[in-house]
Amino acid sequence: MSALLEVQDLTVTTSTGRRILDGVSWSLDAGGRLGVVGESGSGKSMTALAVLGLLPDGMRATGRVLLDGEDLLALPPRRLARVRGGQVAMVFQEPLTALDPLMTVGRQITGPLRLHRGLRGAAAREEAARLARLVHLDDTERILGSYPWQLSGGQRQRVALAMALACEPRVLLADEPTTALDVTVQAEVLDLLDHLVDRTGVALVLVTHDLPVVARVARDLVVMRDGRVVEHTSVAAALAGGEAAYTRELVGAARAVTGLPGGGPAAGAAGVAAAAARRPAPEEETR
Amino acid sequence: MTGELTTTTPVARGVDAPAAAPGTPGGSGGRARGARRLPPSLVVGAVLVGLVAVVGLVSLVWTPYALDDTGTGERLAGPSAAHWGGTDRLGRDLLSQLMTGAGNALVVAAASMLVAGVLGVAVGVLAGATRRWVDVTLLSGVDLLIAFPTLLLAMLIVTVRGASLSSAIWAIGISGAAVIARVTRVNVARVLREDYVTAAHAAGTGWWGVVLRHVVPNVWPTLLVQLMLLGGGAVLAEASLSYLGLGAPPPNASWGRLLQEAQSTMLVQPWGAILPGLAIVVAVLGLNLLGDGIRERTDPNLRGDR
Amino acid sequence: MRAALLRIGALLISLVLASVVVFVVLRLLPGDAAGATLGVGTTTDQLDQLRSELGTDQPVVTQYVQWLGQVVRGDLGTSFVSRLAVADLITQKLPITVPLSLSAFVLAVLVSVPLGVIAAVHRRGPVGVAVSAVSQLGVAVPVFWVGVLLVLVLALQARWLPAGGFPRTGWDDPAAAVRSLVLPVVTVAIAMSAVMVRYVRSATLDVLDQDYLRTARSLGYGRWHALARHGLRNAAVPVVSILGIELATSLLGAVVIENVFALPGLGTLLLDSVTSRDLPVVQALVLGLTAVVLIMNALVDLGQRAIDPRLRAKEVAA
Repeated sequence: MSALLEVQDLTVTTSTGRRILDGVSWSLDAGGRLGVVGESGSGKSMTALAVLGLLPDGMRATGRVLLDGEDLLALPPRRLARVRGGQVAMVFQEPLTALDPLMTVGRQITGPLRLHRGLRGAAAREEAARLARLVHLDDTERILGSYPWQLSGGQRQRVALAMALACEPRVLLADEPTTALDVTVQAEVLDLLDHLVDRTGVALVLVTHDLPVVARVARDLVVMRDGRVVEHTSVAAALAGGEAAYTRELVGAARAVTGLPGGGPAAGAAGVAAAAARRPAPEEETR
Repeated sequence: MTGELTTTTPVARGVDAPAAAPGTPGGSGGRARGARRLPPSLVVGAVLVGLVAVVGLVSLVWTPYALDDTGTGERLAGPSAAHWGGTDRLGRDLLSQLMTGAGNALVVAAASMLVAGVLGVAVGVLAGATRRWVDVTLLSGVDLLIAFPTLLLAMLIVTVRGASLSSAIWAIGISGAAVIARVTRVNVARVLREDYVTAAHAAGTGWWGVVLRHVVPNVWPTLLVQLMLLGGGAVLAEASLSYLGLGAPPPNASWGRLLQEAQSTMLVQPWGAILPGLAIVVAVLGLNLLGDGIRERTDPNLRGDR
Repeated sequence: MRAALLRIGALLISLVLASVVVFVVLRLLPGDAAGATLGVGTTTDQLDQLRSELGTDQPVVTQYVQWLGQVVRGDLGTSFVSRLAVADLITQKLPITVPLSLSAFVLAVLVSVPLGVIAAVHRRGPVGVAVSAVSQLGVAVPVFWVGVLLVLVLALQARWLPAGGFPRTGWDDPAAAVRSLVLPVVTVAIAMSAVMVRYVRSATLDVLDQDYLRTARSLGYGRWHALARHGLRNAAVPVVSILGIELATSLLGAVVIENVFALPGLGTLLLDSVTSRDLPVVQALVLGLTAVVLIMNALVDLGQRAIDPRLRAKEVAA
């Protein structure tokens, strides 16, 4: 089976010649759920940005990013812009700064609807309301008329999800989507993400430093360190004891602090295990 | 091109500017090359200001010709071996007048900085460190003064005291003092809120001790930057006043007045109108760059690429 | 609404304060209007007579109240020099100064906003570096020198435009009037643009670093489209704050530049009256120009509130 999104030998260098990513490769099947973990500075967020061609000024990416066999790195800017939002969308870590403070949430959601789907006026507003309900933003009318800074962190991240899913992308890149949120809200947003992936069939790349988060939502796992891929395996295999020493180290550390399944009787273990159990079996999930 | 037609001084803009005030053209990538290296704007600014200072000092003891010497040259001549800058309509040597003008510009810049510095710091410290009603009162006065254009203040003072070098200096200095006061107040208030100052108080350090040990070292780089920019604005403002005939009357040589005098004859001898303008640009650019350079050097938050 | 009223109240207080300061400064500092008018060698009797005629023998507070009452009725006093009503003198000059400073302001905005945005977007490219360098140089250049150089090149040598003056018939000959204002307008606009470009560039650089711009691009907006959709409005908040100062700058620039181009506008009037110590004219003009600056600042504050909903929300909370 050919992959939906395939990253091959992706290398990112800064203007001073430093390599931030070094030969990163992984693949994601349609409807797949890939977790990319690593400590900060391991290059995991940079990978997501490189896939979308949104690297900071002065950085250069080489290698290939194949979406359905088409190399995104080689696309002219205009075609790449059509892919962004339309085929591959992204949710960022900090939902407050990721939204324009001077524009109402409603207008920010209808923007991509108009851009990719040509919806405007009442049609766009209806669709925005549907998306808001999809991400469980109750009190839809009030929220669509609000500015981002009038909402809570969890609400903002739901808005960001609604924007990302607005044009029914095939891949959703989520970069630490719950890190900036309160602990209780983190769980809600993760459940929502899990639910949305199920419901829309979008393939998920979840970038995080938080192994329990990956265990809860993802099925495959890429472990990164210093800009390189340490291990590309399944979450289950990693939890059972990964091949690479660094993976085992990460799993061990996470187990000591939080309740990662397979570990000792730490708090929350039951919840995570339950979430893992709710996850559909791989056979059902592939469409 | 701010000082002379500025409503506030250019420094005031610095205060309200979004982010750090606009940066230097050549300053990109400074961060990467390490903190040891001096910012290019600092070096260029220091060289330009140094040039004006040296010329101004030399003019005190020596100029190629006496300022009122009309005997040797022909009138309205272009640059020649005998008169590097040419001569004016009375046959006087332009270079000598330009050199004297440098001294004049330095005096104006230094004296305005002194007036603004002393007045502004006094008001700013008072506002930042005392009771709330004193703060509010002083601050509203300062804000009113900042909104009051320097040129209008100068005209007001000239109307009352007559055109003179000191009128110009007082006007520019008082305008600048408003800006310095605001900057000082913000920084003093900020430093006094810091935990280490509270700790110093708790440890028994007196008020003056806190000001000298903690406030002054924290505030002076910002003040120095503002004073440099103020100096640039002062040179521009004085040139404008002299150009309008409201500055120091002759025989004081001011670049602004030289320019004004040469304007009517500039079709015959354009250098008379070009050189004084260039001299003003060199002095103002130098002071502005010096200010930017000091900011880059001392402000750890300033990003290298701005 | 309440905030707008409060801001207008604050404006009125500043206006009154400014008028008190100007009034007092013109009377309390050494030098006396009567002495200044009559000049050297006058007798004490003459001085006393003029003082009672001017009302300057009254206490300052009485003088101020009387004067304020007259101003409110539209009477700005009589010029010592020309013996004409100050209000008429000023009205005559407005058709030169107002078009001059307004067009310079508009031209400067039209030039500096696109230049500043381009300079920010291409901050490391040759265009960005060039714009930054030119504006850094530009803020150091005296406005009257720009005027003088333009006259030298475009008027005296190329003979494209008049070097100065204004048609005697005024706006009855619109073409001639416009021609005589072109160089002054360009001069003031150049001076203002140098400052404004730096502000626009700095504000745009700030916006370019913001996450929401990256979000917009991740949704498929192109670089410029994203900047137009999110950047301009956000960058406008700090830029608008200097528009008030800049309009005042254009007025004051006009004052200086009218003297370069021998335009008989407010600036020339102000300079003449300062030189001849024509107190009522100086007082009226200084206060009038200050009032324009203060009113502009108030409008700018209200404009910022209109752009930024956060400022409005803060008020409701407070």
